[in-house]
Amino acid sequence: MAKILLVDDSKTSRKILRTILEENGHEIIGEAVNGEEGVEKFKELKPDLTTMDITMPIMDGLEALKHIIEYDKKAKVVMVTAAGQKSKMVDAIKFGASEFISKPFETPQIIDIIKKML
Amino acid sequence: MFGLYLGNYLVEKGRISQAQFNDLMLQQKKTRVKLGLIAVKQKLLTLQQAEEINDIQKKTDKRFGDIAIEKKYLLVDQVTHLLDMQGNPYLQFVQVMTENNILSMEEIKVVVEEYRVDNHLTSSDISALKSGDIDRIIPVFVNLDVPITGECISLMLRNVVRFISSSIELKKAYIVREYSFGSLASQQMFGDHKLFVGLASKGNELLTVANAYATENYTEMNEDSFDSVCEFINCINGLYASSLSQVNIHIDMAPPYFCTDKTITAKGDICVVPVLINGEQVDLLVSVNSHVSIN
Repeated sequence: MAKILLVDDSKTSRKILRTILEENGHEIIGEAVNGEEGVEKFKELKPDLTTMDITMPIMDGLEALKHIIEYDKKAKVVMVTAAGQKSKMVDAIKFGASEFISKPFETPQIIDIIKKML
Repeated sequence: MFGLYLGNYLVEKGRISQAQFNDLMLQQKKTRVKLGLIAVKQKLLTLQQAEEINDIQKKTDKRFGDIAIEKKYLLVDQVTHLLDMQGNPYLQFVQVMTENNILSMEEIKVVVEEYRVDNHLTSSDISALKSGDIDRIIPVFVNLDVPITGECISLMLRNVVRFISSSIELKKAYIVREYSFGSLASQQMFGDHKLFVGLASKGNELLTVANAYATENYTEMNEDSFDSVCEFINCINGLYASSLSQVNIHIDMAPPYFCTDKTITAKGDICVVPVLINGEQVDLLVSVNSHVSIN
């Protein structure tokens, strides 16, 4: 079981992810609605794993990922992307993203990825 | 799906009541079984294979049968056989109408012809509607020859059927430069092309999309219900961006945007596709390579 922080501006997306993760025994210890809040909550909650949406207002997921990796090089951050964001996925790898989850969400893929990372 | 068009036409003409129509649709729905379930029952697929295809379907905008053939789980003939077993939804609707003594086969033929004439459709359009195949139905109502716009509309409508409701009825698409709405969820995309994609309604009709996608029971268009519609648009636009990238066209998605009681103004065309989803009218709006402002 992992303590997970969800960063996504979409409440629907957070709800779907929370349901999938909780049903598979993980604990959601916090949620953030943009990258800036995500970085703050990461520092405050020190999660085992963070899911990070890419397209968000105020501070996007790539910028937030950079801040988190600067703060903690070992941070495990899974980027959440809509299909078709290949160039951003490449950037995310450069900035230290551990893995990717793509939308629309697929439960087995998410669970496999989380298991692999823990 | 044609049962829906015909049923609504009969309600409009006062030949059947709305309650009768709703009951007919319910009866028809009960008779239709998913292709994957039939394949598993026929032992042509394992449950795991069917689930795998369902998962792929969510990502790739392909039909169940086509994926099964690609994966070499089924042969073309087997898919045809399964589709035959599943039955044509229009024929199921006709069956339910006649069994309930609402109209005879002969009377249905007459009504179909009246519907065709009233809606300025050709016989081949009627065949497309009767087929129940969304890919054949869309061109009856939307001009798909316009590059980008046509593909984008087609993809969005196929996914409305997949994720929101299989009970959709399309109306003839039209072009405007200005469009006023009560509720709008939208997203702009930039890069090799500039796209504006929105779902709009006069009042709270967008709830039908919001509730289906988030599996919620929202009763008004608020931040949460708009979020659900925006997330649906975001996912489908992602699939579209992904398919464009395969032909070396790159577009990037801006965060989705929602608002109420405003007017969209475009320097170019906005294609409006009216879609009745579970009886509620939602308009799909697509504008390509045009400056769009909302005020």
